[in-house]
Amino acid sequence: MKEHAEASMLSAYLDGELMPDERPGIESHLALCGSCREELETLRNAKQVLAGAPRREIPPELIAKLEGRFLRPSWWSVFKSSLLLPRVWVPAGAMGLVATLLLGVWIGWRQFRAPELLPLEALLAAHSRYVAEGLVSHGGLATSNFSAQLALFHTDEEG
Amino acid sequence: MRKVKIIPAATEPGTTKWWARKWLKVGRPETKAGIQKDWRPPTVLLSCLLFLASSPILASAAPPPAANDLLQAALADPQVAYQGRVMLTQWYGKRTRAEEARVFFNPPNLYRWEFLSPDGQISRVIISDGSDEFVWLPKEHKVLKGSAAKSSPKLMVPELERELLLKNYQAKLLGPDQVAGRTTWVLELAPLIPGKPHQKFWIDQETAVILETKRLGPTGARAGLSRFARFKPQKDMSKDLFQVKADSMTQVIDHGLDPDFFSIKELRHRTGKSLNLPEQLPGNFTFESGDAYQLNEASVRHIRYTDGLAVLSLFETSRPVGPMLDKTREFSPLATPEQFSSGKVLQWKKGHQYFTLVGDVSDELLEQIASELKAM
Repeated sequence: MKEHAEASMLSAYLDGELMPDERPGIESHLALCGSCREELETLRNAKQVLAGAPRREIPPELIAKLEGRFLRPSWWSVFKSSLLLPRVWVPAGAMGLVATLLLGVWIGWRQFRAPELLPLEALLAAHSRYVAEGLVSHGGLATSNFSAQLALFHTDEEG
Repeated sequence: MRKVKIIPAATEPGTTKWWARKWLKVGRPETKAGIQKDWRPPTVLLSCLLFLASSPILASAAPPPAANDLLQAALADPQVAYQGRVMLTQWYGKRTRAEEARVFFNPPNLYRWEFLSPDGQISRVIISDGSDEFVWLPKEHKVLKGSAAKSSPKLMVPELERELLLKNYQAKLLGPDQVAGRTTWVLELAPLIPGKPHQKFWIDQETAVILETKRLGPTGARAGLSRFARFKPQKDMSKDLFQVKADSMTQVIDHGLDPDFFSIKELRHRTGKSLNLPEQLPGNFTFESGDAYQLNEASVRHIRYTDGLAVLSLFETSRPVGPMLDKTREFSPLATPEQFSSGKVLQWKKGHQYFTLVGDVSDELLEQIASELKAM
């Protein structure tokens, strides 16, 4: 025969993995083709040899390494899964609520509180200090006022 | 201190006869109040006369100087070193504040004022070393530092300020008088526009130092009096007097109230705010300069106007202003003028800004000025 069965078909036949409609075709070909029967026999022997060979255990380090490389979840899948967890959402929501409340209280306090007064004495001291720059002598009155107002301002600040 | 006048009742002060009687009378001159305290032997008086005759302005034997010449002499800084004791009294509203101070001065601009509390202790000391001024509070262990008065030029040049003074006030020579046992000329600056203060000066004939300053309010009531009770010219003063010698516990703080002198344009540039200030205000007050600084984390703009003698300060602040002694500490603007030791105060609010106007003028004039400023 000029044509022969493919090795993959013979291997599948040997392993019983052919489709039901493929099996009769291979069997009729094997009945007529001595070369393919020899090939099939070689494959069967090889399978028997491999099935009888001793087995080695995979080192646990290699298993761990492979698992780490191929089984670690991506950051996106971690993030997506974490969004669904109540242990994240409950405290985050509570914190957001507290922050919103604090912001509201602060804005309200700024809006309605009486602004802190600036001391008039400090402005009067600045006025007296400027009067001391005058062309006409103040006879020490501006110096007296300036220093007294400044002293009052700084004494009160301390108290 | 008892004031002793040497003017005989029958003689007009300032006349040749009066001067002749004053200086050449042999024997101890009698006065209305009795015997003159500072009488000196005639030889000393004649020596003084010869000395004074060498000065065209202060020559006592010569006719009295022109008021404007005397004013010019009074406006110049003292040229002699001196020390003395000054009584300062201020009347404002129904209140009076009186203080006594020891004064030391060395030309051109070293000064030391020791203000005394009623028990004679020093309550505060003001010292200038020529460039810096220190307000020393010994009891508080604090020294508040700033620049010395007149250590930087103002925006308005002195010639223009003097011109303004002469435009708004009339200088009158009222005659001679005695202060702290020394002969003085009395000069008055009378306002030409109603509603402004009067000021009188007693100028030492020998040294041209102002020995007494009296300020009268717009209604003629006394507002301020500064008078030497003792005055002694010195040849020289120890420079140590003009240095702060505080203990190691004393804290030195910049008080931050040194005036800067900005034009309206500079002020606008520095604060980044629009400013539409009038150059002139009612009462012939002219814009002199402005300043901008921070006070208790609030912005303050200080705009000053002058008429050559009286000063108006307009403060624009981002927060309301109130007296520290007012314990309610709630903002209630002084909608009608209220008198403080530094002058009358009037307040208003416009938009988000607070305005405080300080000036030593009548209520009517201050309100008129405020109306003009509110419209800006």
